[in-house]
Amino acid sequence: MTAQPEDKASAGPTDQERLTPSQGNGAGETPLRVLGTPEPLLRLQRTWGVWQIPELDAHSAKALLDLWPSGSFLVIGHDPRQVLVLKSGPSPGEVNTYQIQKLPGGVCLESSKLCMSDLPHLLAFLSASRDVLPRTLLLPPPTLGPGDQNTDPLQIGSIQLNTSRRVLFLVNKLYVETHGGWGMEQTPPETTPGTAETHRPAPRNPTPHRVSWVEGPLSPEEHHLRPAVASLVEEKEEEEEGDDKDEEEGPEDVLTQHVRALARARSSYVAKQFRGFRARLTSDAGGPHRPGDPATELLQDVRHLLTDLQDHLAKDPDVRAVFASKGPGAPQKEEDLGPAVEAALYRAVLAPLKPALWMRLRTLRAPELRQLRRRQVALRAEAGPPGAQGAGRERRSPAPTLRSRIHARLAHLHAACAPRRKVSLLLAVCSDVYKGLARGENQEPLGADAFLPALTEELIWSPDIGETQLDVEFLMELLDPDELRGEAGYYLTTWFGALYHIAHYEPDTARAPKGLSSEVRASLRQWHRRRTLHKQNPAGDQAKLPFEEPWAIEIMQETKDG
Amino acid sequence: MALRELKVCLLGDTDSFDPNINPIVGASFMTKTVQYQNELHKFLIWDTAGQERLRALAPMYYRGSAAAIIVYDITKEETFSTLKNWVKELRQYGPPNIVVATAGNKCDLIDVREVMERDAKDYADSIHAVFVETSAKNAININGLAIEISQRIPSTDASPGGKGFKLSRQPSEPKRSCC
Repeated sequence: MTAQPEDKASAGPTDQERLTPSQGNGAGETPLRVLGTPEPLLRLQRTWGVWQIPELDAHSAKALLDLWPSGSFLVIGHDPRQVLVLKSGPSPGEVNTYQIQKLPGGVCLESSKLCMSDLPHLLAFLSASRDVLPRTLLLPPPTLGPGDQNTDPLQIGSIQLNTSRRVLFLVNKLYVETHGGWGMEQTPPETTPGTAETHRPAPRNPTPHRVSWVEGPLSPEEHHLRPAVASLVEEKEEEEEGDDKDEEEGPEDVLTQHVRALARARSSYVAKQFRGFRARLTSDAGGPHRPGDPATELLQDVRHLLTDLQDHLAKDPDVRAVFASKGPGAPQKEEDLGPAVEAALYRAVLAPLKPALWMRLRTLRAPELRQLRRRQVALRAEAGPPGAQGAGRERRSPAPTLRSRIHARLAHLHAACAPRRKVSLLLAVCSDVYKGLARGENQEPLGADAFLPALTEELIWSPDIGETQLDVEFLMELLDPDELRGEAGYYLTTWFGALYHIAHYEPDTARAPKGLSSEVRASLRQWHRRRTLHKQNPAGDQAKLPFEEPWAIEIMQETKDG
Repeated sequence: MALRELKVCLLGDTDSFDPNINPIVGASFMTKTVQYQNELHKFLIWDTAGQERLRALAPMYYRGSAAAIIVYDITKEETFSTLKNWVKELRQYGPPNIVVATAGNKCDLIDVREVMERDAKDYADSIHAVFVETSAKNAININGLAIEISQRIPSTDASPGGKGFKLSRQPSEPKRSCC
């Protein structure tokens, strides 16, 4: 056993000396800034069952890790005596252990000053910056998908080599019980006494989860996360999707540059609002307690921020001057100012905030997203061998190319920032779902009876359903109420319904999922009231005469002929 | 001419409903614009899935709707019972002044009629609903239906071209509770 850093150091930092994410270095940077993208955190959340094995003893963990590449790690032990075991160097025996401490503010390594809200956050940080460790953590690759099967006999809990003898794996009891599996073998369900997990579906068909970082990176067909893969696969469809690249590419127009400059300026209103919001996002769950759902409140605040800035910018003479000078040819029309400012705002203000915003949303929605993913796995498992039916799901799946195109579009949806762009990708996926249903020309147009189940099926097989949930919620709060009545609102509602259906699917009951609970009904009522009381009229040209609900107070806008 | 957008939800046996509109993406969402007096009414038609297990999602569709078109099959009595259940649900959970239209469809020319036109008309009258029936598939007079719905939707009172408040019923403060 090699010497551990904490042996050499003096007593660890006291709680007061620890850095929590709300504090930063003096320069105003926070540890979270080190993470360029949300990807490490996502990967850790998705592979939780791979790196956390509470019941594994230290000796076995070290033996296991000794065979793995530098940077590989496991978290063993039970709360509050969890231990990070790290393969710190290439030579045999280079394995270290570090106590993980639980504090009111979060978790941290015993000898470290850094405290993060939970394990995945801490490990994500340590994958980018080693802190007190001898090296950064090597993250496991994203979870392998349903295509992966292993026909070897199972032994839960012990280390095995797979058939090709290339992969060392361990069937993680806890992972299997939490996530189920995708294989065909029937093994008797096992339960771990004393596990804190609730809402666990009965384990079905457990398969060994391949801890395959010795195998190297996944092949492109299996790996749905990287947007680059989509363009590899979709070469043929590039022409048809000419405008389907993320809008953030390409040269920025002068208006966006101007707004971006304002956001960076020392004392501009835009900069103050921007920095204030950014600070809120990265602070450690501070702020006064507000009743109501925090994730929804946060999205509402985003909307308020953007509409407030849009109002402000639309009145700014400098902005108007920049806008007027934009077009080399005909002068810009007044009613185009609103959308142009909106677009500039999304690029210059929302896009930089998006990573931190999404991290916060994922944290706030963690339990719901966990449940959604669990139910998704259960539904996939239920689909089982081809030909099997389950809970009324039709098994007509579209051609593989259509499904992979849907997945590529979903990846673009997750990456996109501006609501308009997200909506157009969402509608493009709807279009693909219809295509998958179509059977020749003489078919009647397909209604919701066919569409909703087909969409649900596609979502069940989609790679990042948690991200889809967040995108849908984002759009429900950010879109203009007028748009929410029309096509975009219709399909958004249908996606929300499909996701709800998946999240509340109960495979062990014969009956249909429970109806919308009173809480959900109340929440939907509030959402609807909130989105149809015209509290803030967006500047610009969305001045169609709205239908006024009998129960709403409304400010009637001047009608503009459309 | 002022344009009014009106959300309309389709409930019941909507699979049989073919309003002869050619949708672009798919038929789950359709629009239909008719002229009514000096306004253009653009109906935004939201189809709902009829499967029983998905029924719980319906509130999201009828919420905020100006009108609901409930479709039944005149050759299947049980679809008319379902229609009555929808009426009950709308009364309890739907928008207070929602306009209801009941539309009887005949899907199959061979099957025998089970719901008599007289009975369906009487029922519609009793709930102040618009009633329409077709004798063959694909022949719902969507224009006529749209005009009748338009006639029953409360009109706006604000003078065109000016700003004003229209207060019909004061909403209570949205209750904020933890989740």
